[in-house]
Amino acid sequence: MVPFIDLLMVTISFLLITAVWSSMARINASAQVPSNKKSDTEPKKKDKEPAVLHVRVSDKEKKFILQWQAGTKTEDIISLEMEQDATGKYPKLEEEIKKAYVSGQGPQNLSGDDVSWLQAEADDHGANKLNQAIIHVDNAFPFSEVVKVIDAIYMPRRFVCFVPKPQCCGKPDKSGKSADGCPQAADDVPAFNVAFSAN
Amino acid sequence: MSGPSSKLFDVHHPQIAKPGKRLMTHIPLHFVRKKVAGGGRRSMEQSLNLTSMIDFLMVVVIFLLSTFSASGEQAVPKEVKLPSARNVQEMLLAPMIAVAGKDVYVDSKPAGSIVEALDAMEQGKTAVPTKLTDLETKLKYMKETWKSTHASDAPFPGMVVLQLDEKLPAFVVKSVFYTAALSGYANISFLVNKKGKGQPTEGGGAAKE
Repeated sequence: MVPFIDLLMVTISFLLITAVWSSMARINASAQVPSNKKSDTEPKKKDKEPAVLHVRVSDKEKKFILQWQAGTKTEDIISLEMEQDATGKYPKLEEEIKKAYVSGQGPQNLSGDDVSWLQAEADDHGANKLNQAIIHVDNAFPFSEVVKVIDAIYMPRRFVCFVPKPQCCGKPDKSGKSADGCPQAADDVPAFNVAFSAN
Repeated sequence: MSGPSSKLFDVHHPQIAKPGKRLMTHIPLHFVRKKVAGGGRRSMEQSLNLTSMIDFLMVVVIFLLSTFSASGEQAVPKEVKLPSARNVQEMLLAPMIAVAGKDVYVDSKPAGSIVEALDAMEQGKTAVPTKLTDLETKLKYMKETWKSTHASDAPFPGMVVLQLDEKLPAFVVKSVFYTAALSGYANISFLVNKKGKGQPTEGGGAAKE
């Protein structure tokens, strides 16, 4: 009995000493920016391509500027002050990004929740296309602030099925299963895919 | 009885003594003796229930073993302080580009420095991000190695994770990013500390495109 208890105690001590609770993660910032050029070989798709949200960070003026770009047409949505809260977040920016996503689903042709589609519709379907946001920052802006801006853009989320029905449909319930009875529920993904503009 | 043999059986002999309480019994104070003897109150000696203790230890061991995870951990140099973010994704197996001080490392092996980018910043040549030559050479070599070790029709994932200090200016970040993208690594992520209530996703983002 005593050696057994010793073994348990040693195991617990080892696990507690080697346990790491501060796990690291990654935040995606793709360099793949979709081109505005239309390919001749590509078949003509739906009537309209989704607009791209440009988030410009001006460190000198301490401002964020949000712009929609559809093709060559650019329109400003809002210019807001660069104000952090006590936790270091940019709450105004988060709010405006959420608003931009919600209001952009119709006029800017953004993809919203998409929890049920059939294989036959797959070619025309926009579910696999992610809404695009591109971040532009000033050269002296510190990296920690860049990450905060990217984090704010990832704030609004949507539900998407990446495989057709009947493999995937419906939003996940509390246990993570499909609420509509499919084997797989829609994924909860960020509403925008962020690309970091290096230029 | 007298002599050495009689001493051995003597009850007062120091080596042979009747088992019993020893601690504090020699103190010539009434209240101490009463306390030691129990004094009608709860005894000072308690027995431990081994079954429940082992049950508890087993539960702790099982919990710690089930939560133990070595994935997602990266060795970060002392001088690098990572930024924090909430809307993060799980770590994946990909080459790691680290900038520690002025040196650049790819998978812990030296791959040049950021001096070129810092010099360009000082001279105000910031219209285009600086291409870090040594890093580019290293990444291109890694890409070629990957291609030669995988099937010819296998698509190159082009994934890379950047481990950068939170105080690094954006121009240096852009330069490292630009070099990685030019070398064929377009799917780039930043290593961060998971903060608060995040929504870690396994793939998400560009990975599902």
